[in-house]
Amino acid sequence: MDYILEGFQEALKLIIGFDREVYRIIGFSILISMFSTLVSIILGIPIGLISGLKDFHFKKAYSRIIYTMMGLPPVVVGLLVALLLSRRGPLGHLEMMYTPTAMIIAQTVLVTPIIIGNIFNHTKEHGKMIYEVSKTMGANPWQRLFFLINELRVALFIAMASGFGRAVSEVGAIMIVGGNIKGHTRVMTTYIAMNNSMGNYGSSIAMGIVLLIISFVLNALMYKYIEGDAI
Amino acid sequence: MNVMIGQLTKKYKDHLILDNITIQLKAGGFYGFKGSNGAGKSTLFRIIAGLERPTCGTVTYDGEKLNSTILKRITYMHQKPYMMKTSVEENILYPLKIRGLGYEIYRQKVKDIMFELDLYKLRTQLATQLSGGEMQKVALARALIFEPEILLMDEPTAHVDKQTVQAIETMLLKRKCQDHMMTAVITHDEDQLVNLFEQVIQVENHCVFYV
Ligand SMILES: Nc1ncnc2c1ncn2[C@@H]1O[C@H](COP(=O)(O)OP(=O)(O)OP(=O)(O)O)[C@@H](O)[C@H]1O
Ligand SMILES: [Mg+2]
Repeated sequence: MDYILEGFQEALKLIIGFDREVYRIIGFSILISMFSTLVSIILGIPIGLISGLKDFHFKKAYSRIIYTMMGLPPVVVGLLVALLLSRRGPLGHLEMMYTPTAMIIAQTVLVTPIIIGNIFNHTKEHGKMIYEVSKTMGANPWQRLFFLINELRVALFIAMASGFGRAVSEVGAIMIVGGNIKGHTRVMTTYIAMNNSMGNYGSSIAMGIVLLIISFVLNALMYKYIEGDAI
Repeated sequence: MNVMIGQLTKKYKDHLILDNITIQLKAGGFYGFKGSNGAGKSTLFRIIAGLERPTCGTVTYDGEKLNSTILKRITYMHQKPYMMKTSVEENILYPLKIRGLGYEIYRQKVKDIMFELDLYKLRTQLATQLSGGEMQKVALARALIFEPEILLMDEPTAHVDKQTVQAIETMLLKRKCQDHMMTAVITHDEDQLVNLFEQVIQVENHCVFYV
């Protein structure tokens, strides 16, 4: 059991001592995940809002597909993106395999359905009413859109936070397309997996603690936001 | 604004709701609408408010078709009021903000209307946490603040106590005289139907009747 205690001691040393590599990796992870979340927001918010508001054929089937995609296995996504990007793949000439760009693509594929699904759900329930209310008060189409986004802000925030949480904590996809290359594509989760298999428990535990803190902060923020603001 | 509804039919898919109805609602008029559940009263109001398209037929406003300028002069109060996730006061201010009207100029007006409907003490409360009747009053204040020419109210007094019903009725009568606003109200309240309106219209069996 000693190795666990020692691991924790070493982990604290790394965190408190501002170990350069550890903090670099943390920063890089957050950056990559924020970028993927941003791209997913840009794609997902309009799709979620429009598909939630409009009545169209196969809306039920559409929602099933979105909900399924919200839980895509990361390894499968990694595999698909890798197949597309690998040297012999259709997009191989772009030479994006094992780059941060590939990681962002994979995470975006994972996160976009989460954003769409969350927003679609809320918009389907409340969106039409909200849209109509702004119309009856004289809002023009742009003001209606802004009003809708503002009224659904809690849902949007939850969507973003859970999307980011998914991106930052996921390991399967990023390992396959990023390759855990030191100083280039190594992130928190791949760092943990690697150090663990090498027996460097201190480093793994340190990063594990940081990941937990990030989740905790995200959840606390979400909770605070929801509390002060009825859905 | 005079509203002319001409040979209007509304279907949802194959489900006929309104069949070739023609009515005229005059500027400054005060109309009560009644009819059994599911008769199509809300549907008719929603068409007038531009929230729903007629399947065929026309609605004209002083002879014009619905456009964005006219839309800004009509308001419809939903059967279930929707409250914005802000304070009561912000809810009432929203239609003014939409129109780019300065808050300072209208502050007094907002205050007056809150006093009239007994909302002043609730002004900083989160509107989504109000009671049903209080929400109705906020919705009414929000609808009246920009002085619409057409006010369509979908059962505004359904879940409201006697005192509040009276406050709402007084308010509507006052507006009618002052602003020449056309008001149409859906209600199941026989008392109101007999005493309040200038004209009662019944929606039944896909048709409308003057009562
Ligand atoms: N969006 C819709 N899609 C399909 N059917 C609808 C839709 N909206 C309303 N209907 C149907 O149209 C009919 C008339 O509804 P409406 O809401 O106009 O009735 P109402 O007279 O207002 O009734 P109530 O007194 O219960 O409010 C109902 O049978 C309803 O099911
Ligand atoms: Mg109705």
